[in-house]
Amino acid sequence: MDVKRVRGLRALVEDVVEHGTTAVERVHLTLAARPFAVLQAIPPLAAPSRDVHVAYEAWVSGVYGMVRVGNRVVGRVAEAVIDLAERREAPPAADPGARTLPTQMDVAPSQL
Amino acid sequence: MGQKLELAVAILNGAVGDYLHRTENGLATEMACFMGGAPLVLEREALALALPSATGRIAVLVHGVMCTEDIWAFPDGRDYGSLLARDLGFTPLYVRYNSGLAIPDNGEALDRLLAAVVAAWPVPIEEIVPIGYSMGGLVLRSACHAARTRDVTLGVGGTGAAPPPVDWLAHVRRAIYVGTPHLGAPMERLGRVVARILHAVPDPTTRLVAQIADLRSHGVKDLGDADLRHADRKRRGLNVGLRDARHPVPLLAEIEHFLVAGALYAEPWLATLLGDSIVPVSSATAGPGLAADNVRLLPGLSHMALAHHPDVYRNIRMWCGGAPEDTIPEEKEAGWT
Repeated sequence: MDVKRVRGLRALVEDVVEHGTTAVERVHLTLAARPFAVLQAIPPLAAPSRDVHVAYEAWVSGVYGMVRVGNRVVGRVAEAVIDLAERREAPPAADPGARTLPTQMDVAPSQL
Repeated sequence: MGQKLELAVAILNGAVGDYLHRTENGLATEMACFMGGAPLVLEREALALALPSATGRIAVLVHGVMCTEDIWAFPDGRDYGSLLARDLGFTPLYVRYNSGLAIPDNGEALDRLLAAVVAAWPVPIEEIVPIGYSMGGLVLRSACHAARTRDVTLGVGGTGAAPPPVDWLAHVRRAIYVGTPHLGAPMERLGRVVARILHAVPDPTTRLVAQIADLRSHGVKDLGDADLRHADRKRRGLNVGLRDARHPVPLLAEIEHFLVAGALYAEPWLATLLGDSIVPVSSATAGPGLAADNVRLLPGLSHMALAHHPDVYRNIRMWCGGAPEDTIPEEKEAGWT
């Protein structure tokens, strides 16, 4: 697989994890809100359950946020590794100022 | 490994190719003519080198959704293009493209590609015969429409002044469609209905499933109603039926059209209902006013088999001017069927 496609695959995996995490987080929070809504309808439990709900949402969002941050970090590291591999595979650039020693093939037979 | 990788990339392009293109992802396939797995450079000298035995008769083969030009190959590696080259002196060109892009976008790209081919072709062109399989047939029709309607076309080495038009369509006298859903594919329309129902259910998990279903590419969605122009896509929201016979872009009158359809079952009602398992017979043979000889219904052939079957080739060869012989020399010994 060429480097362009490897980079594309890396970007696609990062996009899938990013968008997938966000979509699952949205579903998670929506589903979790249902029992909290029931609890908040009961007057003695309304205030404490509201506080617990806020704390719970902050914790859930924090976990999903950490997954997204980790995903981006892994993506950057993978990009750096691809860059490094690409530089290693690329032929060294010719230095116009450098003198090159003649190889045996460059030397005329009469000079041997 | 190479072919499997290319197939995997083609499937990915078919599924989410529009997203890959929009995000400039390196996995997005650019439309090009391929020969031996490598893209052809569409410049006169390069083409002359790559195709030293190029002839004036060009067969342009356009594959379907989620596949590459390998879909055309028989078990022994031959394909309709190479057989046409042997039997009738055609030079085959295999188009590879991102089948996830909207069909009108691929049509416009194919229009530009064929104009570039004509401009760079190393010998005088006698004829271009486009052969489209499945979605490829719709891309061909869209390219024909784009060629008919564009104002300025690509030119030969134009600098400064407006380039002279390169009318590739003028070289086309016949077009062949193999398993092409001219009236759309009901499976995609059914998927559209299911996605709408899922969206309507007031449940976040069900909606997530609907959103995932809606991620399918523009190309796949265009297959539902065989949308050839961007304008055609606007009518999509109104139609959730399983059949849409109101196609707004007719087949070009100045070209002779030939249609091949497959049917898994011989019984008429089963053939009508299931077609080749993907495309109904009514959609694959939809060509108002076409002569009976221009339409072939081949019983026992699935959608995939249509891309590489001796019965299909026999018809293609006959329609391209070959003798209607019954046999193809290597058919039996190579075990094509």
